[in-house]
Amino acid sequence: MGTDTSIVSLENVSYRWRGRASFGLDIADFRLAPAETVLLLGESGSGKSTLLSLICGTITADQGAVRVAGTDIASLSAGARDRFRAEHIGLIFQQFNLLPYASVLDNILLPLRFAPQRRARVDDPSEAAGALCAALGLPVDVVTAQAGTLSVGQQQRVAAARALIGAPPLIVADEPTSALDAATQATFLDLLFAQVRASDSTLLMVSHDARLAPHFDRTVEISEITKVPA
Amino acid sequence: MILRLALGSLMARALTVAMTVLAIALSVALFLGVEKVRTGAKASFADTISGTDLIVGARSGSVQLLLYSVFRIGNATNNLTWESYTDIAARPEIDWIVPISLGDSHRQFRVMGTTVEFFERYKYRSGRALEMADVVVMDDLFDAVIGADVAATLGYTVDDPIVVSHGIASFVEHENQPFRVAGILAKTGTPVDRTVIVSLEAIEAIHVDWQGGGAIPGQVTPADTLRQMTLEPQAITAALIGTQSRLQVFALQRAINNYASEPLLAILPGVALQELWQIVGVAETALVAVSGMVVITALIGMMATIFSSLNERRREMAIFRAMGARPRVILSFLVIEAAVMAAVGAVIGLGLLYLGLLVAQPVVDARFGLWLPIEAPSLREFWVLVGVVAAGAIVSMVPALRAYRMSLADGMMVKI
Repeated sequence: MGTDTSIVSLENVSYRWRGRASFGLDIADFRLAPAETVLLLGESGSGKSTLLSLICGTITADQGAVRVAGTDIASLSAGARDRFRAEHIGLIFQQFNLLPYASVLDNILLPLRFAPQRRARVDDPSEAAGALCAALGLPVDVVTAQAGTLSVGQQQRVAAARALIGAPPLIVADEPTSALDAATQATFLDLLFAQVRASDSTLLMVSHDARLAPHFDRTVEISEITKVPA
Repeated sequence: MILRLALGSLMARALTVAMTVLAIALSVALFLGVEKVRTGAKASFADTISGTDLIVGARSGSVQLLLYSVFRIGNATNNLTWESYTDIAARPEIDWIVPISLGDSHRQFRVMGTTVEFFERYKYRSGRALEMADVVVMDDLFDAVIGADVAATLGYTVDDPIVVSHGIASFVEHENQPFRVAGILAKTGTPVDRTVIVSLEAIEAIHVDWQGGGAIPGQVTPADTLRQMTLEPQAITAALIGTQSRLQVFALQRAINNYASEPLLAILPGVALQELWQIVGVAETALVAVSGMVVITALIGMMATIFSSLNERRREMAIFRAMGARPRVILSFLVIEAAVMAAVGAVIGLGLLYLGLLVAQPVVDARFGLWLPIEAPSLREFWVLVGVVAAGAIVSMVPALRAYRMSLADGMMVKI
């Protein structure tokens, strides 16, 4: 294990949703290397969300080990898992990423509130947030705006800034572009990739859209890594 | 930051939140208002008579003596002879003594015979004296001074004639000796408002031609003759006493209670008032209980509002969870929100109370003689406010715990 430098590794992992016996996920082996960008393709219902929940530690595997940055998620207490997620993972959802009533700045700084180490990596959080917004092509005065007043495309960029602040080792994005039109999609991905590379983070993006594949180092079909449930 | 976000979240739902806060504010204002009226009424009641050390009358019960001598309710079972009165008045402990003679009436109001000293000695509301519009007090034998309610109810002004009836609720009138309204007292909120005050001599004068409870037929002594007569009463109903020194009150009380030639009773008005309040005061507990329930209802309303907002806020909770917030943070987030709503409601309620007091104080004083003091919140009121905020936080634990469980189950993957 000491030689395993993977930022994420899942070995012989099996998970069943309670009360939905037929619905679950079994993964023999899935790894992400540091600073790698990976596109995970799969149809809806293929277990993508379950996989992300396992990696983020909001659910724990019934069998097998899920490691993030070398730490076995299951070995942590529930509270420690929440803290671990805040420290190591930046998250971008499909839509409705932001607290609409809070300012853009408060939204971006929210994960730092729960992650002291990540917070310590940022000298001046407000300035860092402003810089990220600028790098992601948002207007300068956007940080003081109320998040709910922004367009969907702008909101996704703010969500990206929130995931990137404090340079967590892993960025997880769950179909971040599906609510955007084609032109906005391309710009968003270009900006996101530039920032992910700048912070040396690993990017795991989940999508059902195979056309995104050329942007990534590697593309994985979820069916390739799952075992057929017994 | 969590507090700022909680405030932001509240602002985003301003209308619902404002309604909830308003309900809490109104309930708090009502509760504190009832408290004010209650303590005000109690204080006014206890201040019905002040500055009088002892009340003396024929031996009966202390509450009964208080009722008829001060509140003019009911009748004396017996009188106090003039001999005993002068005997007591001559005692060295006595600073002043004011006789009271009751028994006659004018319409629905009692007539009280007394001396001019009554106006000087009778004090209410911590030493306030009776006030009167510019009028010479009872120069003539047939001058009467009337209370504010008497004047208002019967529409009397100065110089109006008054005919006193014999006894209470009787049709026999002292029509041969009409009185003149010489003065009208300002409103006091005490039984004096409902009293017609005449001189002790006048009470004797109108009974000169009477014997055994009836007028002697054909005998009418002219008013001027009555004015010339020396009119000394045989007996009076009660007397108010002020002592030289407070220390002598108990000794004098004991001496009067053990008075050999006549069974007498001396009471401390303050003690008797408290005894009476214990009888009257049962209603106050009911009042406090009802207004307390209004506050509880408002808080339960807030709980219902939080409950109904939970579903639409699942996404918000999921974002918090995804950012690494523990379910505990979600719980405290909701509790903080509730505490803020309750606190704002409590403060606005306090503001409403003072606003209401400012508007109502003069009106209530003038109409009911009830003095509601405007002063800084008492320690008791402060604890009431703290209690409302604490109760709000505690009540919100119920929906907050549900949010806690929901956010545990949802994790960060809510698809809405």
